[in-house]
Amino acid sequence: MKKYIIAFFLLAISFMYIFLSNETGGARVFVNLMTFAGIYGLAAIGINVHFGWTGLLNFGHAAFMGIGAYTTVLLIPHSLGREGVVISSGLPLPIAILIGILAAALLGLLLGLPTLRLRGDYLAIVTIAAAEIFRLLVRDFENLTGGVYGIIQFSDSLQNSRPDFITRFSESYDISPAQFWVGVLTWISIIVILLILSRLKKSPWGRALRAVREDEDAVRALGKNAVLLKLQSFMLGAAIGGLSGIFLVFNYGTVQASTFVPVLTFYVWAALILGGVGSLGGPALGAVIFWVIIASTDSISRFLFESPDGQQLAGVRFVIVGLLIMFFMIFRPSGILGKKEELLLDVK
Amino acid sequence: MSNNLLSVRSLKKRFGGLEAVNVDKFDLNKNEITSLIGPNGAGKTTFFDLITRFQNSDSGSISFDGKNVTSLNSYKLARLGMVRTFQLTRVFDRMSVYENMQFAGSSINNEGFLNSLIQSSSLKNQEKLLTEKINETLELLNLSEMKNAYARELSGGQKKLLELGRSLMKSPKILLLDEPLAGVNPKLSEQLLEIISNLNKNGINILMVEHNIDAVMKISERVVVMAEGKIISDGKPDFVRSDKNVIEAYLGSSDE
Repeated sequence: MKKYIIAFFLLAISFMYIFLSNETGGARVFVNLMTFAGIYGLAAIGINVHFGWTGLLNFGHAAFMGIGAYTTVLLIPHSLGREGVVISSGLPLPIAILIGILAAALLGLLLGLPTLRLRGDYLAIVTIAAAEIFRLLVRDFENLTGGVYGIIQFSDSLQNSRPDFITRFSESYDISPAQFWVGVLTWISIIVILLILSRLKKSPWGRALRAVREDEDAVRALGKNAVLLKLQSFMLGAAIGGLSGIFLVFNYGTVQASTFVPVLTFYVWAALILGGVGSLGGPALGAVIFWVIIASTDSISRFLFESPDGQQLAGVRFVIVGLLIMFFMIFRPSGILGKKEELLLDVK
Repeated sequence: MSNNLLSVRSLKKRFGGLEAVNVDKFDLNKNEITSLIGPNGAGKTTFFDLITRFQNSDSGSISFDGKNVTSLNSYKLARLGMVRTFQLTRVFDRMSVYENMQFAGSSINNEGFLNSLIQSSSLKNQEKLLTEKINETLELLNLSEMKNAYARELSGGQKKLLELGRSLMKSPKILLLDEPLAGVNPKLSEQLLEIISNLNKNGINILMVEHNIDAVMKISERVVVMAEGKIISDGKPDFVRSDKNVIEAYLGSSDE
């Protein structure tokens, strides 16, 4: 119970800080932050299924996010590459999203089949490499993906579905209606996915995943197919990652190869560690806290530099995120919402 | 051959230049407690790993319950009724004792992804029915009080008990126990031996590796001695105890 009170106060203080430090446009900053937090939170929920539930070390989440995003965007009307070739026909958005999610799950299957038979560390290496291969392929296959020029003008498929009251609400509070709509959809997805996951977590399947996390050999000795369980977990987490990638590119309104750099994966991991590995709502909470910190780097940078430029801001960001992860690993490795008894990040 | 529950023929395993296991013939055909003893490095645990399919053998054949299982997956072999424990106890540390037992007992069908998502009433009923068997088994092992504790909070001996209990949830035909008494205090050892011998009376074959010779001689109906990967003696405890080969293997041969 105590940790929920801590979580509540952390959130309250963070939000108050956001509104107080931005006298004008506080609502705009808040919506921007919450939308990114939702997207990173969703991605972190995916990694949590991998690592928190099953003990799989996935350091290539950006690839799952990327394949979901690219698949969906390429299936709907868009404008591609350096020349801005307009492709005006496409599938209805919900179907494209579904295929995007399936593509991410399939990539999970593809990566998982050869690697999940091996011990955990190998998976970490393979995923990190796979994510980079994915990004470089996307960059080089310019005809298909737009390469570094990327894809633009695909947002209409989503924004056409925006209800009027969202638009009116956004206008009266001076926030971006397009971003607000993406944020609302992201948080609705989080709630739906968490409901499904809470059901799965308590089910025999969820219990079996935890057993795999604890000791694969014992799972095998009890007649259970550990590889199959790991594969299923890997695909589920990848699918959730795919969905978060889709929301990410709709939030940006564009997508380039550079959207899915490795640091994206590590930011998502940071959110997961802050929130609490293994806990259900932890990743989403961690993502909010993470983005509050990112949003406040500007004011922190002003302590260090007179007028910080973009590069200095990015540097400060890295330092803060690094320090924060160190702080949590040392003083609260179970994160904000994690169970101490089920500590997953104990350094032996 | 078909009458044997377990039957091993010319099973070989090498690690580089070391011949870890080289067993010509090994059969289990009666419901009895068989102990596998031998000096350190004799290949007992490797032999266990080979017959439970946790390691691949280089050559040879294994049949279990009338089926050739030489190249079967370890988990499939466990489903056929050959369940093992480990020398270094493997419990699911960050799960409760009860959950450890639940996982062992629940059906593969219920652990299917879709079945777990849908959660039909039959799944819920089966989970409830499991409770009874879990409680009975925990009672038998004197673990009832620790039911809700995390497995990692148990003492070494209690972990051995939990591992045994988990195996029992599978209703095995044969139990392979790898050093069930290692690190267990004398009183608990006594109790464990009694449990093992009761299980055997209830029709479960027991094959165990154990270093506690007194316990082995007391409980076993058959003792198999391994040294340097080979079976060097096989018979009733009294026979093995006075076998010259065995004494040589443990104490070193006289002409060296």
